[in-house]
Amino acid sequence: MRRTIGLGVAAALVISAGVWGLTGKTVEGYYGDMVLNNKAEQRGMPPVVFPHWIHRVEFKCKVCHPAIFEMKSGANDIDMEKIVFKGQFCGKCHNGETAWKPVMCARCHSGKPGMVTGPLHGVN
Amino acid sequence: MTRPVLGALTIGIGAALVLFACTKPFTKKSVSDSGAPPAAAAPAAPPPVTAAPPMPTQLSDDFEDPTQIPTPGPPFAKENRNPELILKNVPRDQGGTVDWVKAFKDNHIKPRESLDPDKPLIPPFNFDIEIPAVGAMPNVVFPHFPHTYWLDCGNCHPNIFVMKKGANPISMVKIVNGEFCGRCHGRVAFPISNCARCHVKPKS
Repeated sequence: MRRTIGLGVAAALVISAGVWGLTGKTVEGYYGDMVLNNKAEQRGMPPVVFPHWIHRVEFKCKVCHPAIFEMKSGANDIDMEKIVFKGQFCGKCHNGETAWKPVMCARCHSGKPGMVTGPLHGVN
Repeated sequence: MTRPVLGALTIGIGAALVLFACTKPFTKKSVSDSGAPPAAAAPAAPPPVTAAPPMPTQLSDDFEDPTQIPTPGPPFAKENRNPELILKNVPRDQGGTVDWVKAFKDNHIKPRESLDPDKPLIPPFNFDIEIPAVGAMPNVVFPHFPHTYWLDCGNCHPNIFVMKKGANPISMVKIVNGEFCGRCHGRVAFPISNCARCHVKPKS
């Protein structure tokens, strides 16, 4: 009887793990992507997931660091006013001349609520 | 012999169903939780459609109504920014992450030097430093070449590394905690789990 229950529990674990693995959601993003959520969620927007990979394809690190962005998560006091009106941070390029204008909110504000500022974990 | 096995299978399937039934509302809940702002935005969407002001024509494809909370999605979902296309042929290291050094050495990517197109290229320089490792680990050979390709001297010196041999008390614990190499490696540059990319020189 004990063996039966033990086998049953093991089978349950295996089957449920399989079902969860097939239906479970994976995180969207790549290694090195950064979550920016110091202000976004407080102000009612989804967190920003900054795709480091596409910027690495286009630019060397020294283009942005440390002149535009300090190399420390949470150390840059970024907000939309500085980006759109003062041309600081992302707005240095995302101004409609060098790169696309910051009018497509969901392109950057693509994170899930509850994400923590810092590197995006669980991605390869 | 067959009875215990059959019994085990029945209990197993039953328990799995119960477990799955328990987890499903949870995942469903978390999904609806995580999608709360868009879900809140979705029912609110139909009424503004009738009253919405006409969108600017030149932005009609890309423009989103800034008064609405955006629907989260994968970043850069556009075709020319599709990671499946751009990162398709980029070489990867043993850990499965993109090997950016190999990528630029093999001309897969040509990252820009500066926002100013007239700024002359600062050539990276070859200068390897051997750093002794603890115990049986092979010693580290730090290559300046890829680092000076990506970065200026001022990114690391003198704030992260003092420019004097032996003056930096580097240890793996400090690196994991985000000091020295760990300022970039393990966060944006290749992960610390990839031991063999740094510990390359066996002790003689």
